[in-house]
Amino acid sequence: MIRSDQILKTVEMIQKENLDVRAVTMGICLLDCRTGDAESTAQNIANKIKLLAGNFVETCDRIGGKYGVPVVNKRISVTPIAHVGAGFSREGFVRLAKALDHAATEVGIDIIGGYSANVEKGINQGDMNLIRAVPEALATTSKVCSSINAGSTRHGLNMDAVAMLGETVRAAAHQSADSNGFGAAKFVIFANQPGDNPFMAGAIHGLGEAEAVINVGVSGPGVIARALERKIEEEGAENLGLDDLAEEIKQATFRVTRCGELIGRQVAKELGLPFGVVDLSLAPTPLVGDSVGEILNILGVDDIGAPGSTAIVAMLNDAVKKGGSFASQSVGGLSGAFIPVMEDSVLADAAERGCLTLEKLEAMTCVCSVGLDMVPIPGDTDPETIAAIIADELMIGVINSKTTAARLIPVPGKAAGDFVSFGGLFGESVILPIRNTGKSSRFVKFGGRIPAPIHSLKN
Amino acid sequence: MANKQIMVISVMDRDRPGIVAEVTEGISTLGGNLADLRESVLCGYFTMILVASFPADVSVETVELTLAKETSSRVSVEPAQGSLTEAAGSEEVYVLSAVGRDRVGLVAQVSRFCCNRGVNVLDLASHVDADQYTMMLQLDLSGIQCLEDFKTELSTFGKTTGLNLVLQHNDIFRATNEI
Repeated sequence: MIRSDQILKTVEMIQKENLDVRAVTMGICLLDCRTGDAESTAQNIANKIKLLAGNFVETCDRIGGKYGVPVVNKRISVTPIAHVGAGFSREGFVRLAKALDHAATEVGIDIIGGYSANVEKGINQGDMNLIRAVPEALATTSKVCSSINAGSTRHGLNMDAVAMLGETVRAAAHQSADSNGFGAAKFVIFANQPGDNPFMAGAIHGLGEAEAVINVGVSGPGVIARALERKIEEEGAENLGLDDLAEEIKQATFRVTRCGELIGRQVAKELGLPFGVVDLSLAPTPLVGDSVGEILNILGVDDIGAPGSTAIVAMLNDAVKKGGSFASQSVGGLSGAFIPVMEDSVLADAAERGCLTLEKLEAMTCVCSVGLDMVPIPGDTDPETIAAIIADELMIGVINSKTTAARLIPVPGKAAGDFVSFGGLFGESVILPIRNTGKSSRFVKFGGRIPAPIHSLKN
Repeated sequence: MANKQIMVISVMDRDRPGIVAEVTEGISTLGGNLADLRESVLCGYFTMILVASFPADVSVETVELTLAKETSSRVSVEPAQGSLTEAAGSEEVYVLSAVGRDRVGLVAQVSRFCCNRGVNVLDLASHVDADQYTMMLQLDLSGIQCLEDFKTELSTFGKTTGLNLVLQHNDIFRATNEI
């Protein structure tokens, strides 16, 4: 039998430290749903989702109940819809979004991702119509999330697409002005987007994936924070080096990952589907005690954004990957630490005090697992400035062979320092100021592509 | 196994070097083969239970006499009744942890609660730290019809007895602690 102290440690992790499985995401291929028209394609999409995911939510809840580890979000990711709807009009793509939304509601999941396109090298007509449909699709549905891959290390950055996406972000926010621009909170732009990420808004079921698959996103910033606090209390901060604390993060991540994989594999087994990957990401929620920012505090910066913050995020991100990779048979997705401003109360507080600025966030995203995530910006920010921020963020990923993304929300009618709240997991924050607005339009208007980086001479 | 017979042997004594050696040497001189063995030392006292198969012509009395010569420790020998069974399959094994202020009758209350519901205790360990008593029970819940009802009853039981009871599936502990 397992030792008593190990049992108590695990019990504590589950009962007191907010251990949960953040997301079980069913990836579904929709390529075979395509017919000659949007209406019957929409019907096929709805039928296939209902067929495969009809008892998905109930299965997740039952397995979560059996093991005492709740599955917080049940989600679906689908084949990027630009592939499914190629040849349809903008209106046809809006129709597909509504079909996805309707099917998601029918099967009882929280969110559906994959209203997506890959335009890393060029934009085809299907991609174009999907992007043009995004603002209306996001404003008129509640569960659909959209993501666009606009760059990659292999192909460079498509600046024509980025310029267009700057407009799209602003339009998505303004068409959902009655909900503070919430449409833009469901829209993310990537470089090096993975095809097996279970986290939203960027989940897709990539073209290299099986017919259907179960992926799992673990969480656990609370578990890591408590493990570090316990270690420091037991051994004294003066007796610990950062390498000791990195080791503690690895061990805590190991346990968190093992729990997530157990639940995911059980769900996959019950549904008769292959198990895909565990995404090791530390995904915070606005709840107190479930924050990545808090871990940074524990690791020694008094405020998030202070010098040292980037180094700590780098160490945290690496330790999470190391502990999780050892624990899991198959790791994928984004796998690292997220720093979504609105979704993390400690980050949002630091933004409110002016300690955490957009520039410092950008620096931290060089070493975190995603990018500028859930960042509310002034509603009157011009599209070229939005596009330039996106370009900055994506090139960090393109050059460094990593995933980066931008989820910016230009909150309509609000200015820097105003407050915005979406509630629930999407959280709240003050609106971050953008220094030097309106000074990047000549750069954005060049368009074309930023070439792919050289793969040698790495300095 | 037709020409073999299985015996269950238990040993209890104040702990000292040599108990395991004496007992197992005695068994091997009779041609006995060990199938399974567990030993534990608690507060300076040694206990061991083992299962061994002997040739058909070795009787229980022979084993008792041989072991009495080999060791001074108290030994009891029983012929195994029926076929040997393994603990329940891992699907229905749960771990119940119970933590509360130390007092008389805690284990009795918890085990009676389990017994009344047809739940078998597969393993039990406990320790006292200051005045806090911690119990870890490995339970076979295959006889439980509805896990939710059992959990509800457990929660009520915890409130009336002042115990903090947590029931988790055994697989969770294996997943988080085994490499």
